[in-house]
Amino acid sequence: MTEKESKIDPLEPIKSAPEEVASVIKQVLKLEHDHLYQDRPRINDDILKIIKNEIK
Amino acid sequence: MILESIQLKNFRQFFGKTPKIEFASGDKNVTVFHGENGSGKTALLNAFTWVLYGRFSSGFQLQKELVNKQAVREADEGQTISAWVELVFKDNGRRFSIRREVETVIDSNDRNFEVSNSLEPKLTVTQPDGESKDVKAYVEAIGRVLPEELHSYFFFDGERIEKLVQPDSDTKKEIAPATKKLLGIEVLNRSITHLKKAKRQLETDYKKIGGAEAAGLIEKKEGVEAKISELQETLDQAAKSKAGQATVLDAINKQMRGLEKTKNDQLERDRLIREIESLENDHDSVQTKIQVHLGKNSFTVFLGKSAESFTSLLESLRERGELPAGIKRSFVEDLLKNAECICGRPLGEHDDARKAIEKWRSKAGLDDVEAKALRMDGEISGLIQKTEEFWTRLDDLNKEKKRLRQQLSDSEDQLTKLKEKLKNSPEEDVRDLERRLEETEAVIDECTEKIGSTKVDIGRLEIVFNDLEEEIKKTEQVEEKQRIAKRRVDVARDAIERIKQVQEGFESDWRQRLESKIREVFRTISITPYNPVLDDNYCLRLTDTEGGEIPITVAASTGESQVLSLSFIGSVIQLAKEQKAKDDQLTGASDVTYPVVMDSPFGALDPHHRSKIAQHLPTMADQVVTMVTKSQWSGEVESQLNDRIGKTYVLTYYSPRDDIDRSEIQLVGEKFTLVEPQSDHEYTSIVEVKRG
Repeated sequence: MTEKESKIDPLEPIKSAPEEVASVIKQVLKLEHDHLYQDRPRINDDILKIIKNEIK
Repeated sequence: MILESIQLKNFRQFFGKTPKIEFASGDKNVTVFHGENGSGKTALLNAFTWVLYGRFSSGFQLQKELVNKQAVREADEGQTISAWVELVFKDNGRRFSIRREVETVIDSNDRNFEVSNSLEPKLTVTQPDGESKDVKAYVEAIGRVLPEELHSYFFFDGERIEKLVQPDSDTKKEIAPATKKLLGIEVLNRSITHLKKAKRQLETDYKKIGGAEAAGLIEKKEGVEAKISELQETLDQAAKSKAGQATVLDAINKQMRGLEKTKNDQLERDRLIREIESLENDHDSVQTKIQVHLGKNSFTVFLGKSAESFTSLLESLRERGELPAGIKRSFVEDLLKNAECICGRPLGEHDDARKAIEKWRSKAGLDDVEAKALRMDGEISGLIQKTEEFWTRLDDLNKEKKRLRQQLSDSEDQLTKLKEKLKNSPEEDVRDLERRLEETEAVIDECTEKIGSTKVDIGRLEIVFNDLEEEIKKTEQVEEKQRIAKRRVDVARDAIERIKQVQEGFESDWRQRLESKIREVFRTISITPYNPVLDDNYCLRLTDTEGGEIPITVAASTGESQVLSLSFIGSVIQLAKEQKAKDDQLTGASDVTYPVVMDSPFGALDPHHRSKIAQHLPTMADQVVTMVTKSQWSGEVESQLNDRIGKTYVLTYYSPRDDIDRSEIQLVGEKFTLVEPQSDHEYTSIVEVKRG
């Protein structure tokens, strides 16, 4: 690992996010990954559901 | 994804069912297929892409002729010959078994080699606990394991691999999106796009809830509360003052009762006051009775005309003998049902007698209607009686009220006269006492009036107060919804910003790491002084930096392009594995194993490059499956790979020609046939080489 790599963690903005934001990001990334095989996944409603369930 | 086995039946060169071909994994992760040109190496590579995605490599000819020709030739007319490939692999602890099958129907002696029927692929997934299930959505299931557009990284023809880096090729266009998918960058891009859409929707929701300000209402409520409290204070003071004045009044009355000269007048006044109080109570009571009487019985007054017309209608019906009717409808219905008159005459379907009786249906009376009409008659008579009683009772009550008012007036007159007498008494102390009494009474009246009006004001403000409280409650509920909606928008915005930051840092970081990895691999294989450079679109080119500061793009030879492409694929897989091992958030599943299946990875390379590639091959992926010709399997290649080979197979090609030589290959001290001439027909069989 180079000096630069050890200093900067590209995932830091997600790791340092407030709990609910981090949780939303994690769920959205998982959802996107599950639908990566599709060219145009229809997941808008699922993403809205993630945010609404996280913040009630 | 770890490949376990593949089996073929009547697929291209492979006549009949092949044995189940198992793949090496673990420390000895290389599986080698030896075969000469035309023996089915490319068909084997395409068996993987066809069974998984229904796709073929660009060099795969006659894609519709999948069924083995010898199987078609040997079939009888009307017979259906099928060809299939079945692949078994593991991913994240689950075992996937997928079979794709096509059929050719032999309809005449004119043999048709083209596929006439493609069957739906069958996918069975077995969970780690042993539970097995057929999955209909096989495209999605396979796509989740290895997206289709990434397949060119894992299944490729080494002799055409240079297309990956040569400009203007279609393959090159697919490289950037595929690489982004593999490294997790596409997940970030899509997350940003979809979160932006979600944010827009959440902003619309927020606006729809509308503005509501509980703060203003609370301030208003506090103002009303303060006013009520102020009025309560006024009320208390008035009550206190009234009580004080009542004490003074009692004392004066007592004093007047004690004086000989006023004693009798005072006692008379006490009596009159008691009498007036009693009369006032009686008067109030009668007034209440009148109100109750009006509320309860006044409706009878308005029934007059309706009641009279109902009574006269009933009377006329009685006079005409229609109520009660002489004949009942149920009686008529029974006659018609039994089809016989009371006189015994039959009532046939079209008889005149029947028609005559049917006419009575409308004339005959209904039992329940008659019963209700008669009951109503009784009730209406009762109501007419009640109207008379209403007027009599109201007159009586009004007379009583008038009498009480008169008595009250008389008593009040007497009291006024008595007061006048005392006020004009010749005795000064009496006059003085009476004046004080009158003043005190006036103050008490004033206090009473104040108490009354203040109570009314308080009541009115209490209604306003309660309404405001209700409104505040509703507003607070709306504000809570508004707060949540706002928070959702903020969270979406924050999530977008953070993913953007990751995306920016991540993409440039990974591109640099990918470039340096490719350089590292390329320099160990190539003898040239050139450096691979990866541009923003993940396109590779070779540059020469030896001559100066500014790198010059150099035209890569076919061999160099092959080396560059293999370096690229190996590096992408390596980085994707590193990324997954580091954090699975961006790339999803925890399985970090990849296979690579390549036909002729050594292409037309010279011995040096073959040796270097052979050295690099086992480290390229977790599992390597490769197909090679005898000439490509040179001494250097064999010695480099020997320790990493777990499975070896030979594709023996049987040719009907008699003008070619038999070809053999020496493997693990044993000779294996690669080409067998003078056969009955053309086909290929697969033989496993047992390694000690």
